[in-house]
Amino acid sequence: MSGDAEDRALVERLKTGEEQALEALYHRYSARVYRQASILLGNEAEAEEITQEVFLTLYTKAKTFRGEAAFSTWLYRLTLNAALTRLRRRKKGKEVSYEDYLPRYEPDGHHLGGEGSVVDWSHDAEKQLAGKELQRILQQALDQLRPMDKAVVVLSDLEGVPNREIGKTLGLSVPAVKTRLHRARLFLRGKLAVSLGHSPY
Amino acid sequence: MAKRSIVGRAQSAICREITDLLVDYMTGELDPETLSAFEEHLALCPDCVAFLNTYKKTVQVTRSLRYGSIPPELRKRVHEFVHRRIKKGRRGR
Repeated sequence: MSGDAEDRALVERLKTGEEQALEALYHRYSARVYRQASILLGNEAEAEEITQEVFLTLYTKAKTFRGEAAFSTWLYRLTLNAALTRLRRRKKGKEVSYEDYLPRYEPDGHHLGGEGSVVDWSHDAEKQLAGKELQRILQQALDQLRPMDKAVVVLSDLEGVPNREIGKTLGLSVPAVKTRLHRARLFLRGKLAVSLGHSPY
Repeated sequence: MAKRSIVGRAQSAICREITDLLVDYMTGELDPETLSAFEEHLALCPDCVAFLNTYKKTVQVTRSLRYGSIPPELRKRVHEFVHRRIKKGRRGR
């Protein structure tokens, strides 16, 4: 039986109230749910609460799983919804403008500043900052993304989920997923560039 | 992102248009003609090469964000919490 077929069989048992089925699903998915929640929230204590919430929701809402998507997609949707609700509830600090970190162009569409204006810091990044420091800066920048953009980046670049699946999970069209992903990556790139002492453009 | 085709315009394709193609380039979704024009532009434009390299690097750093797996004691704690709540819910019915 494939992983998804096994999941579906477990959900069918869970629908009848069989707690052992929840045990098996917890064993399979708790690490993933916790990891995804940690990344989305940037906070391990809240990730623990989300993991609790998701498995309780799984128990109470198993009957609403109709099997149209893979169980793992459905569970991820539960995790995302719980995390997005928290992210939206968080007291908003001063909102960071993406615009300040997006590339800029001359009126003719070439990179701002003319030829030689874009610095290739890709090879020096680790020499200037230790890998962990780069990751810390990137996590901080991720935390400044709008919740839905953050979800798209996490799904795409961390989880390797194809854009079509991301669209289904988040209720977005594929072009909308690509637009959000691109702007978010440009923002993250700009943030890394500034941290390394370069222009974000 | 409404994109104008850059096919046949590698020299006149502007950097903004090249940047807009990066998502599809990264997933290998550019059609062969567009990919060829994209690469032709890169061969002529060191700024777009630098931009592409730093864009790729950003994605690479994002991918490197790895969170440790759930610590065993936390896994146990969440497990117990969920079961307590389920039992409580049943008693309350």
